[in-house]
Amino acid sequence: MLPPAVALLVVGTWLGLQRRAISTTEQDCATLRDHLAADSGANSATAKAANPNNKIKAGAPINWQLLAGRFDEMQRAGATADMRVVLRFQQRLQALTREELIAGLDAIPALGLSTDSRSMLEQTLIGPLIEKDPEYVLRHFIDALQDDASGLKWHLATALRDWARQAPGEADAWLDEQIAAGKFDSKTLDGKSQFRTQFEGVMLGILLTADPAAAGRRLAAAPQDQRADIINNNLINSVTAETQAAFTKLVRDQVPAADRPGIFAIQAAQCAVQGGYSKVSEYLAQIEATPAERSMCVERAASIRIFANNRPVTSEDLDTLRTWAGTQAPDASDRVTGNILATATQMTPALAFNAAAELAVHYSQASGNDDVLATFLDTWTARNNKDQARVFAEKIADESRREEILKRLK
Amino acid sequence: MNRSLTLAALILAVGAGLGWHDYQQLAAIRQTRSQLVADAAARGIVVALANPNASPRSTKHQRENRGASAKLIAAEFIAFGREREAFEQAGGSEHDEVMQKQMARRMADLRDRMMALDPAQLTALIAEVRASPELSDQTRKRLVAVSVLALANDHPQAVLALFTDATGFAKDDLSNGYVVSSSLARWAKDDPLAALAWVRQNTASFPDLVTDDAKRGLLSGAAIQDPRLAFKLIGELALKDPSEAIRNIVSTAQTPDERSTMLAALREHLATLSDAGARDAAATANLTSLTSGVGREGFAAASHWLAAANLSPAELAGFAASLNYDPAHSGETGQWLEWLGTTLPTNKADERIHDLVVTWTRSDSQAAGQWLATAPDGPTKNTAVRCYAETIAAYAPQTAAQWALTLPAGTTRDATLKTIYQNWPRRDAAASEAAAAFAAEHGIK
Repeated sequence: MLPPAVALLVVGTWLGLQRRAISTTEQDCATLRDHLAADSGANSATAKAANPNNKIKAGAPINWQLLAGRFDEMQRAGATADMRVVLRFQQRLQALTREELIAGLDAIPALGLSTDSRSMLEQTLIGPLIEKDPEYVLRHFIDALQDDASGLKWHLATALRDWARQAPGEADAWLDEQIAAGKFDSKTLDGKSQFRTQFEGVMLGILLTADPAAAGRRLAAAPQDQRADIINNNLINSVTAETQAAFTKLVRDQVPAADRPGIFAIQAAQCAVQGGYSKVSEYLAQIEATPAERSMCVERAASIRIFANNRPVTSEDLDTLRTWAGTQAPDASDRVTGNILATATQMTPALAFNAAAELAVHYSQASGNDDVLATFLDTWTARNNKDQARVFAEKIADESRREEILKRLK
Repeated sequence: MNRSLTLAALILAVGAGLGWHDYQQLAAIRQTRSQLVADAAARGIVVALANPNASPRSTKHQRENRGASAKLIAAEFIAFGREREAFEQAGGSEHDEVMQKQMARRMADLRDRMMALDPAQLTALIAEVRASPELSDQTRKRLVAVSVLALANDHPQAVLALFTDATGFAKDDLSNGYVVSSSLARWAKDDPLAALAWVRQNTASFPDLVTDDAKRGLLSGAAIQDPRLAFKLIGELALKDPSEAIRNIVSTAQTPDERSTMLAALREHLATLSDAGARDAAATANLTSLTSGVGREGFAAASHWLAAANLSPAELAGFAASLNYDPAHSGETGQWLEWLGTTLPTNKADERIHDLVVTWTRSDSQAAGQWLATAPDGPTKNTAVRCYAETIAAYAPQTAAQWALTLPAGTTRDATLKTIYQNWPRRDAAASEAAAAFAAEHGIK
């Protein structure tokens, strides 16, 4: 009777394994249907989705409440979030149509989410919508600028940039209308609107290429005390070799003289990073820099150049700097040297205070005046090392200046 | 014998019939499941299934197919890496947004497909990428990091094994120790004791791998499920700076319920510290971390949680340190000011009231002024008036002076008037004269 027993065993095992597979697969299907049903939202939809014959159609209404909940969980999980969920969420986001994104953004404020969750979800949805229709984003969501809880406001300048690239004239006119309508009015004590600054900078960046005269008119209409902020925050980094001349003219025509050296110094520092002192020299010639502008540009460029080395400052660094500064801003050379030495004592790796002071003495003697040493001893690093600083202060030749410095080092 | 063979044949025939029926049924159900998985994936739903693989056992053919599949994705991934390298070398940058987005989408697609591979397939893929002579070192490291993170998602222990097995995988192959610490966090989230055992087993042999960062990753993962256990593990892990580990654990609590559980566990842990001063300092420091999100949930929810938490003075100080002006809940700033005044000792409350009022006034002076006009008299209002007046002095000195004069006569009022004078804007001769007149009126020298 052995063969029937073996046959029974074989058949039994095979059938058992298959039935177990059927059971677990059915279990999986039930789990999946539950999740899909929940995702479909309404209770009526749950009943439909629970039926295997009712396939979920692509484009079915999105349950934003559930999606927001999933997004929230994903955010909370942080480093331990399931990357598959994160990826699928991102892919799903990319697949949403313009209408679905708009519906989602309109629905979010009523979902009862925490402020943080609302803001993060809004910020997640607005990017893909800006890609699809930046003009709509601006026109539809501009009031978010006055809504403290909204996350949308941080992205509207990107929408303006994208729209202005397509239609600079329209975007320019729209921005004027919004300003006139008070959309950028600020509640801050100084009256400045960070969003106005941001939007103006973005618009000017586009107009600089599309219509430099319009850029001039735009900046002229902005409050005088905010023009440098507008340029420094959002315009300066969009300047290219092609738009540099128009940018320089814009600054010279519209920015108060006192604010110009600071703006040009930022560009000079960028030149120093890209092409060293020679590129800064070219830049200063190109913008026809005034002595005050040259002075600040030389100081900023030198600082960037020297401290990019990631090692203590050497006399070779300073010799090179002084030779170059002598050709570009001779009056600033000693002051810049003194300030660079002071900063060098606080950098990592640092130049020791005494070593910096010795170099200050050396360059003062070489210059035949007290400027390098006096500048160095009139900085916070000297006030932090008063005892040593007072010893070096005795080497200042000019008596009244020496007394003045010693007084500050008490 | 013939009878038994016939019976066996009969059994097999009936079994085959039943089995074929079951097989057909199973095939149909699997097809349904595949469709449901696809629908779920399209809607961003990921479900942990009881039987995620299609077959209970894989055949040699299936194993070969899996190997081929891993090789195929590896080849595609390497080709993508080379393409990206060429794009970057050709000067492709963030300015080429369209190409950047396309690349990001392709990378997401590849990562998604990688995560569908099993650990053996992913390990084979990683080996292919590491051995590829077509990639620069930088790109190879980048691709290895991506594939290792894909493996870490479901199989963190397999990632850790890469470092300790004879694969020659070094921590330097990746940009930093993040992979090790996040793998330990993921593992410890599901099985903290197994993760701990791995740390114990490898600390001596791989000191560069099992760093304090890696151990803190383990604690963060364990804390998600069981904060008490996480605190207990601190002692086991011989960390150089246990206080940083406590902050890591505490920061995993994010909802009110999680915070309550964490607070109870933290208190139990701190009770084991014998030095009362150190205990209070730790309570203050960690409450700052634990409650940094409480204020953002709104005053009603936050004050409810705080009342239920029954915080000690040291814990309250920690919470107060985490309380900052929040533009999203600007309208509740006044309620928080009053809460500070009634909850904290005067010296501690003043500091926080000062910071809140100054920032609120700079951001929305009108709202701050309106609150002051209706705030109940008392020390909180006096501190707030002083800070408000001093802050607006540079813009509206006359209004600042009016507010300062509402303070009770005494040193605080005198000091406020002096600060107003110092901050008085002197834009022209008339403004300077007004400042001088103000100084004379109030005896300011």
